[in-house]
Amino acid sequence: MARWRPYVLGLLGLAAITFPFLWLTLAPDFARNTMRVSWTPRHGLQFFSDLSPVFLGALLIWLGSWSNKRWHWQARLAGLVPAQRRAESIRGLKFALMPLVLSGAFFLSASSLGIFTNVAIYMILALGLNITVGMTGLLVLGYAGFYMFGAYVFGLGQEHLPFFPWWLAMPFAFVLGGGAGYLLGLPCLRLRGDYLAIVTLGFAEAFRELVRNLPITGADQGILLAPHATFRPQLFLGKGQMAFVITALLVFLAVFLIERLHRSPVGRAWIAIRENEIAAASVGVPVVQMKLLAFSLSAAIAALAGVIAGAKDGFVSPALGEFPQSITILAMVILGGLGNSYGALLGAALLYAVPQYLALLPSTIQQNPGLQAAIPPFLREALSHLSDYHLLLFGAVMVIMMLYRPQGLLGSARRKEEMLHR
Amino acid sequence: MSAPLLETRGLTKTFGGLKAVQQIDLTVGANRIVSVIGPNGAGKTTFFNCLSGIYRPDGGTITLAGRDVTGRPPHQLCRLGLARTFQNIRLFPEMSVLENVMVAQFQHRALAPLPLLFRSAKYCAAEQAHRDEARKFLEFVELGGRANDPAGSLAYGLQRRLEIARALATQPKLLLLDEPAAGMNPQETAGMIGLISRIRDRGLAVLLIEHHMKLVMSISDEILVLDHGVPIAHGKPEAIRNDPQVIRAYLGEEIAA
Repeated sequence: MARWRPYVLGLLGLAAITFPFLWLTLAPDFARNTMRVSWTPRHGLQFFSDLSPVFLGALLIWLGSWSNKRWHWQARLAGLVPAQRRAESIRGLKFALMPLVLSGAFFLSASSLGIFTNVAIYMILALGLNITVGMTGLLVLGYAGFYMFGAYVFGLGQEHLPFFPWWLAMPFAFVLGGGAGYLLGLPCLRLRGDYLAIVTLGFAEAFRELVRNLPITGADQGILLAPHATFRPQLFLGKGQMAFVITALLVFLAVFLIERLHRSPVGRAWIAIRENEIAAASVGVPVVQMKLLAFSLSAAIAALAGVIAGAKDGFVSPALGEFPQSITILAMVILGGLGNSYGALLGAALLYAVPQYLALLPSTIQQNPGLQAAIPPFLREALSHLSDYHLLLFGAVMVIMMLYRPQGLLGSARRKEEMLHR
Repeated sequence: MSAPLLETRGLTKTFGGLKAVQQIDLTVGANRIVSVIGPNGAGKTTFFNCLSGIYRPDGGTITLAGRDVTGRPPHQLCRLGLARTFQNIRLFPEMSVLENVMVAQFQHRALAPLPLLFRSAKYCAAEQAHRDEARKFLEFVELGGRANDPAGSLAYGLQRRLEIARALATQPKLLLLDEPAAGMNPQETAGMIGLISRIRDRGLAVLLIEHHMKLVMSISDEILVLDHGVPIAHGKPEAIRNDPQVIRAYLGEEIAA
């Protein structure tokens, strides 16, 4: 149970932040030319009844996990190696989440689907960056450059090729992004430490400036994508649902593949490089090659995420590759816990969802007369500007994290798991 | 006669104006224990760093099993059968003791991406076989019971033993040990002497840097003495013990005279 404590605490924290706003509605009061906040328990109840599949799902997962620990049915089903059984049987249960997450496409509203699709894109980016920064210990400051690179591979491809839909662009961008990462890594991965950080930062900025100034890439406006290339209604799914389902599936796929790598000789070599490069080399790990592999793999994943972003939004622009993007993704990885894929997921969810909630806060208060009456004006004033300060809040959270939990929210999970489940 | 396992000819390394290691000629035959001794700063560790590829020598040649390997990077030398431990211990502290050993099996692992990602039966069997083998190496250095602890939590002496297990897991023909008994009490040192002779019994050759004279004299087949980067004596332990030049290097002019 101890393994789940950080997850549960994180969710409870998020719930505590958002809980008060479930019970309130904002409505304009035209007579007094203000907004009224009103207390509407119906909304909160509605919310919890909407969430009942989640609670039910959680209960089912817990039951599955408990019965599996007791009878090891999953290990028997999968015919796993004994040593991997215990850890694997618990870990494999994440796929029980899949139907639940995917069914979200049907019970979530269009706007929340948009938010969750963005969360999923950031999850993919954080997973990719975690390979270099978390596992291999290479600091990369220009990660969004590869994200933008993938988006422009898609944008330019669909402009100049007769048929280049998103599903064709994905493998292309993956391979080209990996190649770009390889070429960029070749000169600077032979250097030590912070050089890579500066070189990637410089290249990302130079690439963005280049794109902003070339006529072929549409300068600051970017490229508008042809409708046939982007996500569109297919089968019984609407456009937003399609985007959500594809992105969520890719998150699962990425977690699956990256965790398999993490627990293979390749992942061991990456961690060994992070822990002590000279020792890793002297026990036969080809350090430069393994670093190049990590770096180009994470670049390829970012490029893939770029294609998703383009296919979802219907356009690509240099805004994708801005420096604050790189820093946000890095912050997600650090907040979640360096080297832990699930930490990257949690970090992405928190750092994207919390600012969204903060941005929605003033309008929520305005629409709800009861709430407006309950909150004193000075506080209301402060809250309405809260989202302007979210970077300040991030800063504070980061400083507090570095002081009290430098390994991140789930940082020690891997080690603990390694020690317990063998 | 077949080529010796390791041979250096005129090996030289300078740092700026400092000649750290000069003109070292050394031959290590298969299954021999050769020690390198000398006062602090004599260039012993620099010599090891040249042999294991961490430094690129400025002159001379290194031959490993008849092949010229001068200036090769560490992982290639490891592949050719040379493994080492470090004077200032270099483990992977966040990994478990067992995983520390498993990292060293990297060069013996098949890494085809698809079987690895989808865990084919063959890959799972190989993973299990290597895990069992890593446990055997841990038992060999008497660390079997600590396999799942973080390497960073081991006591100092045990960390040295883990480094040896990790080096052995690369399946070397020649093992370089850099002060394996440093900071150990007499009992632990006796254990280390036993361990080194058991390593020799496995058919490995050992090249050893050590200050602990009892250890060096009791197990070495040959001793090379360095002073200020220059070899001043080379021979059997008894000859070295009475060599006036060696005594002078260690104890100073007056006592020797």
